[in-house]
Amino acid sequence: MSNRVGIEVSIAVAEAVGLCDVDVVAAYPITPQTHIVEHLADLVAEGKLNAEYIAVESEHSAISAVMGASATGGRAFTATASQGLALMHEILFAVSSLRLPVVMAVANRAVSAPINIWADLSDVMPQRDTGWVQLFAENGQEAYDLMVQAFRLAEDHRVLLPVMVNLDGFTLSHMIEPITMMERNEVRRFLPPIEPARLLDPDHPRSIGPFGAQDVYTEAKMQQEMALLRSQEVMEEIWQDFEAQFGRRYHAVESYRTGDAEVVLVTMGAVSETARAAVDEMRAQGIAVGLVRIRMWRPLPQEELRQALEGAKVVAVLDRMLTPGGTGGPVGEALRSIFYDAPVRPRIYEVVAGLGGREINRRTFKEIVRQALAGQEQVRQFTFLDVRCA
Amino acid sequence: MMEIRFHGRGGQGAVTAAELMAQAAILDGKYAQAFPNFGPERRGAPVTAFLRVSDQPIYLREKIESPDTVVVLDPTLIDLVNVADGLKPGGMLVMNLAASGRGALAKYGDQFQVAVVDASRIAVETIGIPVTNTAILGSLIKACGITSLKTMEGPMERRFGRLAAKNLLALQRAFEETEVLAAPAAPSPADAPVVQEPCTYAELLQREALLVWDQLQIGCDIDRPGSTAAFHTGNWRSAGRPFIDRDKCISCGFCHVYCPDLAMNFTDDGAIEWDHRYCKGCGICAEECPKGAISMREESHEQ
Repeated sequence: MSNRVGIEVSIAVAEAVGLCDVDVVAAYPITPQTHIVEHLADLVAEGKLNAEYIAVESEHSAISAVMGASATGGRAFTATASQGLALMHEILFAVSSLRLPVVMAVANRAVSAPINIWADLSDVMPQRDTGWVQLFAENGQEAYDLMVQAFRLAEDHRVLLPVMVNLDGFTLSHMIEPITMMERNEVRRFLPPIEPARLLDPDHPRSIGPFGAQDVYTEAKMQQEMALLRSQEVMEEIWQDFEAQFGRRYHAVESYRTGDAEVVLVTMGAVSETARAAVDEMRAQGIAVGLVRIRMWRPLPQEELRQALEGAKVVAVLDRMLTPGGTGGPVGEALRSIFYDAPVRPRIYEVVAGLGGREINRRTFKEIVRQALAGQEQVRQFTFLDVRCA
Repeated sequence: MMEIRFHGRGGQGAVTAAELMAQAAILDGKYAQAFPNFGPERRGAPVTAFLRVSDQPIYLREKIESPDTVVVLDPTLIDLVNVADGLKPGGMLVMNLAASGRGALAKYGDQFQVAVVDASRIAVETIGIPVTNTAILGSLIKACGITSLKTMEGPMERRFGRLAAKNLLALQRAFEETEVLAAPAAPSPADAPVVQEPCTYAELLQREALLVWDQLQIGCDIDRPGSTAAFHTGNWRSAGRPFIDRDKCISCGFCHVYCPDLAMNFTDDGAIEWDHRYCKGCGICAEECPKGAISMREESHEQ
């Protein structure tokens, strides 16, 4: 029985978290994430969700509280954006290193200054190396589904790592769109009750988070890295189960019309739908263009990306974050690294655009493809596409 | 280049000794490096410090694996750690040992040169406390040269101010009283060992790392509650132990509350009892006791 409704994506995300029977939500409101945690607070207040909602005084406390809740065996959720995510930075490392299966939604937004509340990825990309699994949603249905999948991935004993689900601020988080909602019993069938691998329990004392000197630190990092790499195959398994139960199929990397494509766009997040529309229009004009979207950013599905892009002459990357003083953006850097040793290397045409919510539309992608095919020269390996210079 | 490793206990000044010697060598126009074994500071715990001295610039930022010389500030360390670990064959051991303890040298005599001095006694007689770092430097200069007693004056004055005179006296006396025992026969050039690494890189990793990565608890947890009890911080004790005068003790428990290692405990009948396994000899209990019932006194090894 389909339950398809028109709903704001933030509200749907909160509903999904509610269906997961979370035990603890701790959050601090920040635009554009606020609607997610406001709705969770409503669910708790109205008795629809039997969880502890902790209204904390900062994001640093929010992530610390869910880390503690997770260590005691609870299913814990938080959400944030922009400066809030930056304030969490320190604790993000601890959550992943202590192998605590926290799930967090991030409504991606630019970081100050100037103060800017609109979408780009400059909040999440600096968190790239905190050891979290990082997933990027393209639309409301995916954001909704990923929440449920995220808990199952995080809590899998082969993984035991926190998972960050990213959705673009406003252009995704605040959209009203059709989403097929799940039933509580369906979600319970897909996501079993949490079985903590170990927990803080006075009856069975243990130390979580002790000192680790030079004689164990490297080994602890290796163990964490192996779990993070393993999470990709566990995610594939979860996506197969999800398809079997709900009929929707997900992959770490999605390809669209890349078969004979001369130039392939690479995108993340909600702009990918616009990119797909642009690809269709360019195809209608006879341009051999395709699209590859990265859904799983950490762990980076290197082999899938290499296979998806190896046939292209030019790979045109859109990075929605500038790496100041560097070689462009994080996605472009990753792709160059993947292809450096490949026998056949596509040219990588990297573009930084869409900062602070600057409009990304079909014209943007057509311009990227035009420049890429024209072999336009790049200084410092990237083009700052949409900056006004005259 | 000469590489020297110092063994002491936290608070005895091994790091300072290395530092003073490096400053002197630099004043002499040489190149030198002094550095501790970077880690948590633990008063009384066995610690190491390192010193390199060379006529040429030193381009190394690594620990000293195979020292030419080892300096031991505290005689009780010989039973706790292998002070000769990695010491080059024929290298120099500079030891603080009382005349009565010299039997301990037997195991080193046929492999290494040994310079020995009763630095603890000299320190007590000159400075007034058994802190041996400045005395042992006198022995090191006697055994290895490196710098002169004269050059040591500047760094010691800067470091100790009005206490420099006493420390310089300790340095001077230790220099005079140090006995360098007959060296083993120097290997002939033909027998000179080929320079080789003391172990393979894989073996080095096994020494550096406690466990194989997949044997660690998830998240580096410690799953045995109370495992700290197995960590006998009493091994670190070097500066005496508390003695309780039961006639003065009112069982107020101040010592129990202030003791950083719970080494002062109540017995079943409410009296205070001292636990030698964990007492580091810090003396906080004696300082805090409102009745002056606790005094710090030297202990003998039999206790």
